[in-house]
Amino acid sequence: MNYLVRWALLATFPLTLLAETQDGIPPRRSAADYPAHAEVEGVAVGAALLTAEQVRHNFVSDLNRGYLVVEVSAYPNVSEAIELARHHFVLKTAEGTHLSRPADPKTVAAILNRTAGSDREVTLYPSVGIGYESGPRYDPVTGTQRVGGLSTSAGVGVGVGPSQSGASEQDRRTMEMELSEKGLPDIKTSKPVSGYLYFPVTGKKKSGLLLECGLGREKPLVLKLLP
Amino acid sequence: MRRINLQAAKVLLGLLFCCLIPLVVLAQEESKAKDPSEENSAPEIHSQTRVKLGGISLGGFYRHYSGFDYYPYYYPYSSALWGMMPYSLWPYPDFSPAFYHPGYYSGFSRSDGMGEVRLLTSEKTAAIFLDGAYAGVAEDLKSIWLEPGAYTLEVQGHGNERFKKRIYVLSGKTVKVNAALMEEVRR
Repeated sequence: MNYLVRWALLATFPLTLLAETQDGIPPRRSAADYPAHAEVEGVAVGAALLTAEQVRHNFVSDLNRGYLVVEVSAYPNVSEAIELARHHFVLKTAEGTHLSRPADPKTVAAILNRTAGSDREVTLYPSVGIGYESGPRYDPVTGTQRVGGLSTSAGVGVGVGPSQSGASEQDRRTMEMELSEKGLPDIKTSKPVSGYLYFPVTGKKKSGLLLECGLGREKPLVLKLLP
Repeated sequence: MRRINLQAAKVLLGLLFCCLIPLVVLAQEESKAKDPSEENSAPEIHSQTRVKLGGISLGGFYRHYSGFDYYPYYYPYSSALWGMMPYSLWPYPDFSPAFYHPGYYSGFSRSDGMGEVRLLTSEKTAAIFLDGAYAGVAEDLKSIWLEPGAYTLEVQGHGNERFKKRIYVLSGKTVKVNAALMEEVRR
């Protein structure tokens, strides 16, 4: 019997370790540190919409091309563990109409990789040269004698081709890793959790957005997103 | 003097003409990108055209002819000398891959399909580690070219000052890292 218990403990130990590991980003001190925050049934949630500049600074993946990035943190009561998942969040317009749900980092990476592959790159190679020749010079082609002087040259080499930036399979894997590691994890925890959500958007609807957080509760939290 | 001015004007005109070529290419590319036939269900992302500078080459020479010389350009390098390049005789020290990053020996030099990490540190002699392996000192590693991937960058100053960050490198992109060394509190 003891033997069985020992083996059961050994088998469950790695699982408990896995359960504790989480990705995401370090949460701020409290939900009040976010421009938008609210509390419901013992869970405080803070959110901030990242500006294009912040996205460029925080991510190497080019998320400004078609995605809105929202930093979300959840602060559960110590006594109660909460279940957090991407599908608990919905982005809505100020009028309350559904805009989009967060995309899976794997999908985002694949789309960005495909887009990068369709980009074109024009590379310029300008060159300028100046020289001076002195003394008589016999030209073997024309058979004449040439006197030296100033000579100049200028040119531009132009290379046009598909972009090599972020288009390879290695790049796709790296983007997937970055977006997954920084993304809000799907987790059951009693500790503060923070991470990014990537909302696919069409057009430029960045003002007056609402973030609805279900969190498995009956009454969802609604946060007005501010950058 | 007037002749020099004329030559300079020719150079400027030549450059101006050559700069028009990429603009024409760009205009053609943009007209292709506006094709609305391909629509995506999720985010609406259009392909972009980037213009970058591959490099500028400036050259100058002075040549003097003192007589008949059909072949003024003699080439001092014979093919037999190529095998005697100093790099082939470079005495590589013994190293353990567990402690030295492979890029340490190549100097993290630029190559196709690589991305750049621009590192800024306050301490020039701080030791740089990539994924736990020694990469060199900060003053030699202001620009690090790496294969695409995720790395753990660590900067270790004198004493307990440390900076640690997870960095992601994509081909053809530059990541700027400002490593502000902070004293680590050990308990």
